Amino acid sequence: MLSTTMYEAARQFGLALREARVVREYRAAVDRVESDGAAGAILTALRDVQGRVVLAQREGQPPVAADLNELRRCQDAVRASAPIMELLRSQNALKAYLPAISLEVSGVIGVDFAALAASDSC
Amino acid sequence: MTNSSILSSTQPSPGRTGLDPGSRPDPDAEALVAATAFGMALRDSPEFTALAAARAALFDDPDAQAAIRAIGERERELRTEIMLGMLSDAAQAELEQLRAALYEQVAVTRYAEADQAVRALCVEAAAVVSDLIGADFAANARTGGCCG
Repeated sequence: MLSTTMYEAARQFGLALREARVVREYRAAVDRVESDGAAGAILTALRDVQGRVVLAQREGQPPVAADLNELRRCQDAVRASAPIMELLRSQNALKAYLPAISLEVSGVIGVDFAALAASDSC
Repeated sequence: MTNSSILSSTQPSPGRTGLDPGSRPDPDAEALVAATAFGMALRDSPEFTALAAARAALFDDPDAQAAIRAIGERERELRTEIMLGMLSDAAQAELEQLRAALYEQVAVTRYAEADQAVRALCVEAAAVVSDLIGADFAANARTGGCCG
């Protein structure tokens, strides 16, 4: 449980960060995909077929032809979807931007903040 | 350098300070300022203070240092077997004994506890940030691999 001081510091940081251009663009891209039924359906179909292909590989089985065709169809649909491509672009921008922001925090505390903050995930 | 360029080079950046009434603060610069303030809050937290004290105590404790050296030296000697997963039962038992001896040192357990508290603090604080920005801050901010 965070102390009030620490919670407020994190909240102020998050509030400032959400106004940064890269984060605003990412959030807008997420909103566009979520409000676009076709884009949502493409991503759902892609996740489903990816899951089946990965499962087959884990079980030492070759993926079935229908799944491979479906995977190619979904990948083509992703490339043709402007909202999804914009989301991917903004995700990449976010991945390039947040390390620099984290570095600012790390510089003050003297250790890698992102690594510490992710330490429960591995 | 002209007078105006001298003036402009010595003026505080409006974006970083928000002091210029004629322009809106630059959100990107504000985010950097907020990151610094957040880092300072972390650095001044009881958890980071306790970790610094535990680290100092660990370095000052000759028994703890001896236990750290002992396991470090043995692991170096056995690194090939460890890497290949070919440790003998005897070597495995010896390493476990050395690790147990290490964690019998009060300075070591206090350091480990303080380190864990700092990690928990960072995880929780990052979760607050992640909720606000709508993305996993730690996952997106990491530059190395898992545990790297």
